[in-house]
Amino acid sequence: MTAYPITAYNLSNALGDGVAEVRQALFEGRSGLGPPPPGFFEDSIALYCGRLDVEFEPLPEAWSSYDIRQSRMTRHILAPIEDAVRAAVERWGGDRVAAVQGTSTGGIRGAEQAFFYNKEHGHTPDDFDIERQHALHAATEAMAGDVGITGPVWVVSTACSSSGKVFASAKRLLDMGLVDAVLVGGVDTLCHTTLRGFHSLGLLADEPCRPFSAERRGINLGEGGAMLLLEREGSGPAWLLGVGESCDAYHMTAPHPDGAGALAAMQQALVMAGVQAGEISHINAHGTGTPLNDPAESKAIQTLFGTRVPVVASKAYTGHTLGAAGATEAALSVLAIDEGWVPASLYSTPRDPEVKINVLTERTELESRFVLSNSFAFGGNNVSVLFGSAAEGEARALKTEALAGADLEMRLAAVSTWIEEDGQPDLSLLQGRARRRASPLTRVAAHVLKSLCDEAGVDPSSLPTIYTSDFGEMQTTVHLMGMMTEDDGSLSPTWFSNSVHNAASGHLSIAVGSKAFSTAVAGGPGSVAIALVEAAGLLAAGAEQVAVLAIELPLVAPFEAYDYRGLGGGLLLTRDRGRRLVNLRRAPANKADLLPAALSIPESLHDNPCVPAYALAQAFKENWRGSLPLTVPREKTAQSWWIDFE
Amino acid sequence: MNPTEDGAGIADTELEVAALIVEALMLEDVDPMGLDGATPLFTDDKGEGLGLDSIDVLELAMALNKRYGIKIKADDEANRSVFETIASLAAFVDTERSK
Repeated sequence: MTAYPITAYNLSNALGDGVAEVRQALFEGRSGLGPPPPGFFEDSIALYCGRLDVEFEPLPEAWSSYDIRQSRMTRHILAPIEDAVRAAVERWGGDRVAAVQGTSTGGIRGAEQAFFYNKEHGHTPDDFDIERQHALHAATEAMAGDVGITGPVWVVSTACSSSGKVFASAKRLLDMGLVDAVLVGGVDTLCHTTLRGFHSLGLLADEPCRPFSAERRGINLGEGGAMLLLEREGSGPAWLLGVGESCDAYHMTAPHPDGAGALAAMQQALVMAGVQAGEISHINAHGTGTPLNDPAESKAIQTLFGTRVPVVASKAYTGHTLGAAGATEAALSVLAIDEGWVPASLYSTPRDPEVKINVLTERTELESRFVLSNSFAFGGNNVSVLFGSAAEGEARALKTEALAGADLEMRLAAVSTWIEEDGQPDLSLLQGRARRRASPLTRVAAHVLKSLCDEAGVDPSSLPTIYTSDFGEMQTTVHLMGMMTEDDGSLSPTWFSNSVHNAASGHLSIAVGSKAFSTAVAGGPGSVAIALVEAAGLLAAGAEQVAVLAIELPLVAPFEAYDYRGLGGGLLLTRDRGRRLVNLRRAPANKADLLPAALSIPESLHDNPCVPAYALAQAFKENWRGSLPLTVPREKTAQSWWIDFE
Repeated sequence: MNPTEDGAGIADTELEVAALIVEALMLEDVDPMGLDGATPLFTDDKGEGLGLDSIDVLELAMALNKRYGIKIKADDEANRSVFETIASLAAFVDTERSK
C-alpha cells in the first residue's frame, strides 16, 4: 500500500466557480445557499438550494450528442485542470490513465425534460439520446474521451457516498498497477427527481441547513462537483493515504443509530493509511443536518477519536451535492491542508446536547497533517477518505516501477443467471419490508445472489459485492417521472429510495446482514468489464472472493432505444479456485464476433448491456476456452474490453 | 397480526383504512378483513403488528392525502399517536377528512 499525490484539483458549487472563489467564500464564512431555481418547484414549498449559477459552454462538436447540463458542468469543472490531465495522458499514455467519477443523478435532468416533452408531443426530442445523455456514465465518457483518457472509465453510483468511493477504486487501480493516473471526482445537477424525492421523505429544510445544531430541520440540495487528479508520482498539496468502505446493513434511508457503519469506515481508512486516531488533525463530517445523521455520526466520531478532534461541517455552505458530495468535501479537505485553516461550521449552534464532538464554530488556524472526509448514503453505504499533507504523503510514497502489463489473474468459481424465461425471481433472500419494497431490479439481484451463493456454498453475509448495470433503476426512475406529471406531482418515498443505482446493493446488504464491501457501478456498454476491473482490484487488495452481479432490465417507454429482454448474471471471482481468467485488456472491437456463436446466448439478449455477464456464465458452464469480449457492440464501439478463458 | 375469526369488530373506516394500508404499502400477504382496530401499525414490544417504519408512514401520509385530502406534516409530534393502530388512524381520518 502506498500514497498518491493529488497533482491538480478544482471544484465549483454554490459557493463559487473554482478553487479561488470557493476559498474566499469559506474564508468569509458566507453560505452559497438560496432559493431554488425559478419554476422548479411550486411556490408554496419554501426551500433552500445550492445552485451553481454559471453559463456553461456547449460540449465540443465531436461530443455534441452528449450535450446536456450534466456533461457541460462536468467539462466546466474539469477546465481549470484540463492541461494537467492532458499532461498526465501525455506522460503515462492514454491507456494508463483512468477516469472514475461519482454521480447519483447522472443525466436524469435531461431525461426528465425528455419525459415531459414526450407527454406533450407524443415523442421524445429528436436530439435526445438515452445512452449518451441519461446513462449514468455518459458525462464521464464524453469528458474522458475528449481529453484522451483511454484506460478504464466508469462511474460509482452509490447515492451520497458515490464520489467518496471513487478514491477507493482509484487507489486499487494504482495499487494493482493497472494505470498510473486516475481522474477522480463527481458531479451532480439539481433535478426534479431528487428535489421532489427528498421532499417526499420530509428531509428538506426550509432554511439553510444546520448540521449538528439542536434546531436542525433537514438538508438543502446542492449541485456542482470536484475533479482531482491522482498520479503514481508527482507533487501536490495533499496525498491520498487511505479509504474505508462499509455497509450498515440496517435501513435503506436511515443510518445505524450508533453510527456503527460510519465507525467501521473510519477505522478501515486509518488502518489502510497506517495513521493512529490521535494523529487526525480534523474531520470533514458528512454532517447533513438531518435529525438522524448528525447524532449517529457524532457518536461514531466520539467513539473513535474522543471529543477533542476538530470537526468541520461544510454542507451549510454548499448544500448537499449528493453524488458529488464526496469529491467536493475531499477537495475542501485538500484546500484546508493547503491553506492551514478550516472554515467555521455555519449555523451549527445551539448545539444538540447529544452531539459531544468539537464542531468548530469559528474559522480556525490549523496545520493539518491528516484529514478524514466522511460520506454516507442510502442503502447504508459508507465511505471515509484519509488525506495527508505533502510531507506525510512523500514519506509514505513507495517508489514503484510502473507495471507494464498488470497481472489481472482472477478465477471464476461459480456463476448464476436469470432471464425472463426463468419466470418470477426467487425472493427468498428478501423478507418482510424488503420484499414488498424491492424494485424489479432488486428482485432479480436477490435471485442471482441467492443462486450464486447456493451454487458456490458461500455465505452472502460476508461476501463483497459489486453491482453493475448500464441503465440501472431506469424503470423506477420513469415511474417517478410519471408521478411528477400526475396529481400534485408528489413522489412516493418508497419508489424514490429505490431509484438510486445502489438500491439492490442496499436492500440485499440489509436482507443478508452483510456489512462487507458493496458498491454499484455503471460503465455503459462496458459495464460488465469495469465490474471485473473493480473485482480484480479487490482481490489484489486481499479479498478472498468477490461477487459481480450484473443486472439489466428492459428499457421502458418513452425511452426504448434498444429492444432487449432483462437478465441477471452472477459471477463469483476468487484468487485461487475455479477457471482462470487472464489478460483483461482493451483491444479493437471486432463486431462480427462480439458474441461467440459457440456459446448459447438467446438473440433477445444480444443488445442487453450486461450480456457479457451471461456470456461469461455460459462459457463457464460449457467449459469454453478463448477470448471473450466484455463490451456490448454499439455504433461507436471501436474498442472493447476482452478477457481470456484459459 | 391479530386476525379475528369472523372479521367482526372492525368499523367501516377501519376497514377502509386497513385496505388503504395494504394497497399503498403493497402488503401482499395481508388480508385487510383479517385485521382489527387494535392492530399496531409498527411492531409492538410483543412483536405484533404490521411492522411499518418511517418510510411507510410517509407513504401512507401520501395515500391519505390522495384519498381523503388530509395533509400530514412529516415532523408533526402528533403523528406518533395517530399512526399507532388501525383504530387510531381511522379515528384521525374520520375527524380530518375533506373528501
